[in-house]
Amino acid sequence: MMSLLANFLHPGQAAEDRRANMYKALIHWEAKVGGELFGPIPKDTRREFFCLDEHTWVWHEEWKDKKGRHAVTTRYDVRPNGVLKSQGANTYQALTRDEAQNLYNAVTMYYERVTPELARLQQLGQR
Amino acid sequence: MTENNIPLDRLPRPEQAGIIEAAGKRIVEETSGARNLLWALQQQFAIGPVQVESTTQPARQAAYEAPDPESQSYANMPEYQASAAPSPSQFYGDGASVDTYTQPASFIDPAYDATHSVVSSDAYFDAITPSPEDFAPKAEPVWQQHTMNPDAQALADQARQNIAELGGQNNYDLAA
Repeated sequence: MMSLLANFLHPGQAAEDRRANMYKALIHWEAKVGGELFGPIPKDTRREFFCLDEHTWVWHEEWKDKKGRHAVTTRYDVRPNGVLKSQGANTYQALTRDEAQNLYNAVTMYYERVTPELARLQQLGQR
Repeated sequence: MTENNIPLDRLPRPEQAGIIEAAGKRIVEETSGARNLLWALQQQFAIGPVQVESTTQPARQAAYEAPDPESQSYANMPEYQASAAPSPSQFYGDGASVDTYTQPASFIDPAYDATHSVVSSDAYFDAITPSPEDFAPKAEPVWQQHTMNPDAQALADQARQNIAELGGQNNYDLAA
């Protein structure tokens, strides 16, 4: 009932909400697939890895230990002067060579895994 | 366990259309995203695709395969059930001694203290992904909505004519 009312009052808003929700749902799916690229995910751990936009990749990990729950969100930003990593409060770090190679491999695997499924969805829509 | 195929057929029609539209947008973003990042890493570190060593091949293969259907989940597999979640020091400090290809922990700088960043759940996701407002139709800029004022148009035409009449003269060449 509330959603019907919202549609009546703001018909455009419902469409925007739906588009945003679909878009986010798709990224969520990609993030989970991306998280599984690295092998089995330990119990009590949430791992997500995904492309946020044309210049940003995100790796998010949550886990639990004796001290409680922890979460780290790592962003890899492609800048004109190279790739920078940010974690936490606006601090940027350079990547080591090993880290760069791992990231390179992970992105390659991610693209091989995720994009075919997105293309399949598009093809279904064109039928 | 992740659904590796999105069950589009089971979704209602509007959701199907939304997913298909989003898929098109994501293909563009991810293709650009992957190309930009790989190119930047190649330039910065002179790296490229590597031949995965035979010892890491099973791990790579596992990464491509779906979890064992009988176990339904990686978490139920005995060899992983036994291992507790790693402590931050294990998690970040020992990346080099394990298979760095399959351990995302090795992405992280070992010196980084993970404990300072305790947030939770989807808040991070919602904060970085677009909101509905980002999907609203963008208003056309005011300057595109109107044709030029006739007076201004006449002045512009006159200026263009004056410039043309000046031809190749260089009025700023003091040495001439």
